[in-house]
Amino acid sequence: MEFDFTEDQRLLQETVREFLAGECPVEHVRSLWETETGRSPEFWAKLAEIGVPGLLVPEEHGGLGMDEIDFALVLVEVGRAALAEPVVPTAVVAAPLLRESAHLALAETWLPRIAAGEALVAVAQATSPLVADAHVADLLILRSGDALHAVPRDAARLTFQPSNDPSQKLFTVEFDPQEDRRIATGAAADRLEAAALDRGAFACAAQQIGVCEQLIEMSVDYTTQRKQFGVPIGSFQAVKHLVADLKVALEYARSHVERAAHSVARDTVTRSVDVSMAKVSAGEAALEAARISLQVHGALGYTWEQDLHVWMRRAWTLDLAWGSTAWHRERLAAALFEDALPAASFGFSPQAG
Amino acid sequence: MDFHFTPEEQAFREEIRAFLDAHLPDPVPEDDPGFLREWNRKLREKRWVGFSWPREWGGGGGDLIRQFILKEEMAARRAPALGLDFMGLTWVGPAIIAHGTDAQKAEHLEKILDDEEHWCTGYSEPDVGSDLAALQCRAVLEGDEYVINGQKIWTTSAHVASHIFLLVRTDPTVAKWKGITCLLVPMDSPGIEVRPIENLSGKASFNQVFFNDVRTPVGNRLGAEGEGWRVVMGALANERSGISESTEMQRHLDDIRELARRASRNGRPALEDDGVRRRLSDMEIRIEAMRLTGLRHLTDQLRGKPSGSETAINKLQRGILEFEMSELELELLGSAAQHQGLLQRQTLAWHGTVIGGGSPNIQRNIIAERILGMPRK
Amino acid sequence: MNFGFTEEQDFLRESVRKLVEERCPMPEVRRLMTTPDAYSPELWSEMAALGWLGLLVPEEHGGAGLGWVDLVVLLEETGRGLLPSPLLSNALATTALLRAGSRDQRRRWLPGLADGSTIGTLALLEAEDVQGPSGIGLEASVEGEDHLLSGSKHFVADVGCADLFVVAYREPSGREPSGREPSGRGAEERPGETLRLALVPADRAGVCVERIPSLDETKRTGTLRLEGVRIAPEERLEAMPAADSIELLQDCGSIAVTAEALGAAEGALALTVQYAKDRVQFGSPIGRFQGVKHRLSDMWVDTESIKSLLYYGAWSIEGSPEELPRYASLAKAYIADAFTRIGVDCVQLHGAVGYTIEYDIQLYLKRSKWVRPLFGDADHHRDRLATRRGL
Repeated sequence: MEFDFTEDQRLLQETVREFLAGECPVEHVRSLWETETGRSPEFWAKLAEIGVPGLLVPEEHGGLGMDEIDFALVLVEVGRAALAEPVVPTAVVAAPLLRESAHLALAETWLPRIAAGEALVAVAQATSPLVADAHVADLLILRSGDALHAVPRDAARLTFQPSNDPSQKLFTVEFDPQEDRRIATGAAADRLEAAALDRGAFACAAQQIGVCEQLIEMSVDYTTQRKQFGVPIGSFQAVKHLVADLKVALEYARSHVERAAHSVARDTVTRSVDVSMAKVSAGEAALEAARISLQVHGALGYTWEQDLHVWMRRAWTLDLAWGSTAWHRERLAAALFEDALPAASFGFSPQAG
Repeated sequence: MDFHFTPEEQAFREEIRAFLDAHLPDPVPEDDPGFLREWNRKLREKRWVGFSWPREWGGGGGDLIRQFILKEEMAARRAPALGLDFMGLTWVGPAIIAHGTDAQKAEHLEKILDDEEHWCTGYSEPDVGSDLAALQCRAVLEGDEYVINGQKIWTTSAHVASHIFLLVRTDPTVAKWKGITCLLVPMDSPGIEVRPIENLSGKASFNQVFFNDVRTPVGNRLGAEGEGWRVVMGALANERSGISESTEMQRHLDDIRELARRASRNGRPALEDDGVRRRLSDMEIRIEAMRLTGLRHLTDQLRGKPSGSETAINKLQRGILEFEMSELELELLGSAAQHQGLLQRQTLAWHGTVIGGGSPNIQRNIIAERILGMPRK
Repeated sequence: MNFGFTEEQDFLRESVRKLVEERCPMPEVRRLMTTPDAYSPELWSEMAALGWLGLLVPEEHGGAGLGWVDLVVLLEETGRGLLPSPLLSNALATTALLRAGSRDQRRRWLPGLADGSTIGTLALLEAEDVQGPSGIGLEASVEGEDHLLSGSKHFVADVGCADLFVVAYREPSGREPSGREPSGRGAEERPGETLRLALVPADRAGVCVERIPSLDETKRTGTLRLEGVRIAPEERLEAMPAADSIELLQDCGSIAVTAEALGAAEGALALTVQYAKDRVQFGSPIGRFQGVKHRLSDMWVDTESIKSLLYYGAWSIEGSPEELPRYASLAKAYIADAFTRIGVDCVQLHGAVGYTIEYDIQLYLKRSKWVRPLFGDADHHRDRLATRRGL
């Protein structure tokens, strides 16, 4: 039994962290808000050089052939950097979906391009009518009736939907379903969609850990420096207790997210329950961090120039993506009270069939 | 990352389950000293009492993983605690193993395991609670004896103890935590008086202990003079995943869910009530998080990382969860919450547990200052 | 509109507080806790003589002819000292007579309720523990003009010392409901059955009481068992439809309990503030630590906030009856949660001594647990508020 990451996994995390510190400082995030698409192909290309887009793509297609456990810490760094590129739909959701589908031709066409950083994919979420990053996607994976379709962007009609987060680009999408674009139907489509949801939710939860860490760090730094009545405000018990409660929420969410990574990667029987627990606790931790860091930063937090709200908005956006907290809580309750699924099974994780 | 156990570890788990199937009645008898004695005799045969202690001193020599497994399996079946003398097994024995002379080890360790010695710990004083280093109970060396004067309070089980693990001040001239010494004192020493303190459930488990010119040989000092703080704060060989606590809480939550199944709320079955479902799910999430976080701590321990203040995290959450769970229970009882039944009285008992572990605000201070590095006052 | 208290009410508050402090300080409270019925007959007579028991009773029947705002002041102060007495039960039984009793019934029973010779209490709840008219399942059989009751009423406050029970039950089909229109206040009539409210003296044949030990020993509760108890027509309270009077008693009960609980919460807070000033740790009174200070001020904010709801609700009983249900629910919901938190927080702020029986703060913790389900807990009232708003 070992509930921790390997040295290699930590090394990958370090690599990504350094990369993002250099290539995606908060100024970069802000500058993208002003551009038309809000996305940077140049950046994506550099991201591909360190292998992130193809992390879950098999080696024979040019990817790293890793799993979601390997991705977990990378996603924490993505969250810490408030990176808004379509890492989740393309790298976390679409790549394994294509890999797991029975549609070999589609997989062989798109997986290498994803790994090489040459293609972006957007995926419709079962929990929302809005598709993120549809405007920069080369391929859109959409549902129609009982089938999943792979639709090139020029075959889809996009309508932009404004959102509170300038990093987030949401669209309603219409298309004419064609038989030759079907990836899967019926039970197979449901399975792929369920896995997509669990991967998407897990990935957002993992990012929330990074967002929460960043907000706590900013709050601790700020309260250590800012003085009032001659002492740093961080020495006041009230402030300390607020931040301590946040730290507990963070560590608990982290435990759930790390376990969910394992459940998704090993496709355990408890996968959906574990993912929902992770999404709920990480979402709440990040939202609470957003609220509290605003509070301890005082009036300063409200101004546009303050970087704080970059992460606050990420917290809100990630909370709503791939099933809100409320949605996941309900899924969890249904599993706990109706199916009586064991969320905690002692000592061993049962493997899925 | 791997949640599997090795075949040997799995076999140990099976061994424990077989033992429980054979020897633990269902339901587990409560308040039955005869049963407990017999139960512990059988555990002792397996060397599961003092499982983490070295085999040369009668313990089981169990490694961290197997300690974890033993605790988890026992808690899952609501078995009584491993061993009758909680203080002796948890605090005193390990401290003697780490700091004691061979004579002290020979004198006390097996007797603790066999429940022939019963220990209480003398730490808090009336003016000294959270600020333990400020303790005042005085011990003066006279020849080859210490002469002790002062008082202790909140001493659990002092009224039935044979020995007290006593923190005294031997040097009032140095920094407060430096002048503290640890003494192992028999409770039948002349000059010791015990007065029980009744708690709000009507039971007396806490006591006041008065020391009036109590003499004890130098040989009863544990560790060097002035080292008492280190002796008490020193690392225990025990695994620190908190698995017993989180498993107990999981069992408690299962009971509450059962209660919700039987109770009604606003005219509907309580388990169909949105508010109840939400609260139960929230608690499930947090108890599971406690368990997982404990597993992370265990992994750290297995890898030899020194334990820091991380246990404050689970301790803080436990206090909050105990409160929420007891409140939900009382609500589900409806008007019957007014009565004096077992369940109702248990909802008072958690106050004692939480205080014993250090109040939530103390835990928050530890987390903020020692883990996050925020400025102290 | 005047939203303050009158001079008389301030005087009443002062004199009640003083009397409670002098005649029933904590050692006396603890002594009364060990008695079978948790009250002092001597003190009860004194309270009667001072006019407290007859506060609501018209002067013609030996009372003071005052209103619910005055009663709330009285209950706050008795709550503050955790005064063990059937005062609250008696006030509600009195209300039943005042509102639903005929002139003859009022003339017969009110003087005794006012002078302390008759202790009254409500017996509404049954084993299913459902509040209000829909919780009434006890069915009478009819013998000529009389009703016969066999069954039980649960969670009856002061069941052991009560002389008079106000019992709700259903009269079976075959009878026309009384001539009045069922009101819009949630009539909960079942087809062919009529809700009834009646007086049952404790010494009536077939009446038996069972005391049940309570966690809060300053209060008493238990079960009322009825075996073929006869109720004559003149014992039925029919000045308003029973469904309406039950609802009214629920709401008045919520207001009364909130008042007593608010006083107790303030008493707990006062005790804790004093402790925080006296207890020194790390070289400083613990009240100087922000963690302690902030919790104390949060609790104070809670007690102050609830006052407006409570006083308005009390006033509405006579002054604006259509608003009563809403304010009764707002007040009870608020105090149930707030006093629960305050009870726990105050014990915790006392550290280890909070857990001992010797210190008084645990008595307030236990009172908070007593209060919470009475006339509906917070969840019940929030649900009720939502339903009223058509959610």
